[in-house]
Amino acid sequence: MRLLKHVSKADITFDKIYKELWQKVFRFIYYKVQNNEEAEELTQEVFQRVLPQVKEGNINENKIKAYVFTAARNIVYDTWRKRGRDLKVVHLDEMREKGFELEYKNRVVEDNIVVNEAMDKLQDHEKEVLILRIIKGYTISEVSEITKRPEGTVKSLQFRALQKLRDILDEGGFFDE
Amino acid sequence: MNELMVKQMQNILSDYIDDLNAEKKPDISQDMADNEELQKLFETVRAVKRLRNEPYQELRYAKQEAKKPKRSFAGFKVIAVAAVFFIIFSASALFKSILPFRYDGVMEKEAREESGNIQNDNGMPKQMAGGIAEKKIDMETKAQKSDKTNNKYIPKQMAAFSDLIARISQSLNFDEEQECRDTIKEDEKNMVKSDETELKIMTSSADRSILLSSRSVVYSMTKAFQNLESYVGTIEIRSEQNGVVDFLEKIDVKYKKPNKFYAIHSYDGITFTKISDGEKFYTIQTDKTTIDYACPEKELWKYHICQQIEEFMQADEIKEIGMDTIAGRMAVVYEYRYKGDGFTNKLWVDAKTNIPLKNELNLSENKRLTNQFIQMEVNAPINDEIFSYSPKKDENTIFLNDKVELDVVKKDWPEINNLLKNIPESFEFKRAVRLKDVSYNYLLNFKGEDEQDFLDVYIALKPVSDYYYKEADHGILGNGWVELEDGVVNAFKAYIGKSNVAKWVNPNNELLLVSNRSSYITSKIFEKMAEKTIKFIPSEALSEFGLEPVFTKENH
Repeated sequence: MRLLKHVSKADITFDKIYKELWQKVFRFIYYKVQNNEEAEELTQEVFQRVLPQVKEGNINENKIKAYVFTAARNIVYDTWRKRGRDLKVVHLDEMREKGFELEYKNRVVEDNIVVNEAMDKLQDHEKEVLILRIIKGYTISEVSEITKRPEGTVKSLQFRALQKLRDILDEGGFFDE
Repeated sequence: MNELMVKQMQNILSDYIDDLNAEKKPDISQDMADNEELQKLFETVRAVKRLRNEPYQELRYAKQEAKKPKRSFAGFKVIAVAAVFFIIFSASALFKSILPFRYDGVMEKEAREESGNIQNDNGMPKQMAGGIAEKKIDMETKAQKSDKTNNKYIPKQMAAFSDLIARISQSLNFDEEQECRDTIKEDEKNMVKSDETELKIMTSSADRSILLSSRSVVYSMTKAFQNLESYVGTIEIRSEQNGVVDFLEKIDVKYKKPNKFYAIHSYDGITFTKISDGEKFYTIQTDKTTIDYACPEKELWKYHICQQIEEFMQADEIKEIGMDTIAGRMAVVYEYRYKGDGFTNKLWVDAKTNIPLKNELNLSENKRLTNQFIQMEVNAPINDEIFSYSPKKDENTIFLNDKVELDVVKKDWPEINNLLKNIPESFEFKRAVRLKDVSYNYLLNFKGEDEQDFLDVYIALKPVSDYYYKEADHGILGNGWVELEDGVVNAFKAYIGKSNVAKWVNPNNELLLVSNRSSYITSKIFEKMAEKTIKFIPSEALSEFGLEPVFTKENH
């Protein structure tokens, strides 16, 4: 009976945290990965990672939020690390809700400024193809139609433009996280 | 990297972009995950994709998409002057029954007056014509030349003039509601306004602080307009030179998205009412009422809130200078400037609603144009009945154009069947309008699945264009030529914001498509009709067709 009560309380706490933070965590992850499907999957993973800890009472109720945010950040970075990127993992003590939010907002603004500036260094036709393909979301054939360039040319132009942009960003330390 | 590897990388990257565009989790194999170069390229793609969430990204990059040269303040000044000119033109036109798409002969005279800096018949000063006069002279010289051989030039000139205004306006790259309606993510909303101070602290330089601050202001205003459904207010448009008011118009307006409005205009003791019910545009004067089916949105752009936001967005320098009270509201005052220009303009933004309340444009020759709400209520309830109007039986009612059945168009232009069968199925036919006193004889309105999706087809039973715009793209199709241009702003003074225009001039007729969809897409209709593809050519090659280029000058 005591156990049931304990589980029930943990469930309620988790449910509350889930409702309160799911959207925030999802947005943070979406910002990082830029697609809905992966963001949903990883957000789910965050809460799956947190749930057992909550149920087992391993986390102080006041620290659950911080734990969730840390898990979110680590899961994104773990995913990238698995994909070959060596990124710093932030530990629980370094991460608080405010820090999480600030870091996120800071990144949104500063990254976009840097990328905008880098985009401006591309040639017009290179920038055009990236805008149409990535920002506007046109398919290769649509871009081919709009720009009156063969599809193969669009694809190679897109590749060259992205390589160039990557090099500009790399020189500016964009990938050094 | 050998050629095969490059091809592979290109395909992988392209698939990755497609996946992100489709909001799908990209399919990344372990080999790909281990490839550092690819990972950095993926992150580069994601970084570019994040830019789509910027409030004014659409605008910033629309220029690239439309392949437009970057315009500076020179263009802006011209539109400001053009706006004043248009107001004056409209006012004088009122007495002469000139309405959009009409021409009764006074325009040519007025244009000369404009360039000569003299007064028109109503005693209105013409000093404000400024920069536009030079452009108009170019147009007129050409049009007059054309008149010698073709007495149909008058409506052409009107169309050309409308085009010119639109093209001048284009320098603003104004995309009104489409811009304002762009989806902006909730997380940025949290970021922008309330955390403005925080953002300033986070940045490393004063410049960046200003940049972030201005981005926040623009964002907040855009968002405020997005949330606005209606407004009721009184707007004052004032033109001054050397501190002396030379034109003053008051507009009591009730506006409801997307294009319904009821506006009472007053100036020089004259009052008239303009109403749009979303389908028809009424201009009600004491002695007559005109009804226009073609484009009910016209006129709105002169004073619309989003216009002010757009002008502000284009600024290169923005500085907060203090607080003021406008229309009984506390407003934050910003100074803004355009690159390479010595003039400082001001914008007053409601501190509570983030809606611009007053805009002051300073122009050359000590001219100033002020557009100010002297009273305003946002999202005020408005009964739709106010947008309906039924002329009285004895009222002198002039239909600037008539709504007609498709069979009527078919009788005049049997080729319409070929057109209709090639209109994409996603577009639904709404109405046919017979135009009067303009180059084009008919207008067919089509609506797409989305509210914003539209396709308007103008039909001229004879070719009417003997000029081309150097900045547009041109090609040959069948026995005729095509002109494609995306991002035309306030086209024909009838399409608020940005629209895309495709024209096909052939020996027998002329078709003009105006749509929110790219002209490169809508021109497929022409290709299907002709059963040929457009062969793109350098614009200069059109001279061989006896066509003359129309210039839109800059930096004057």
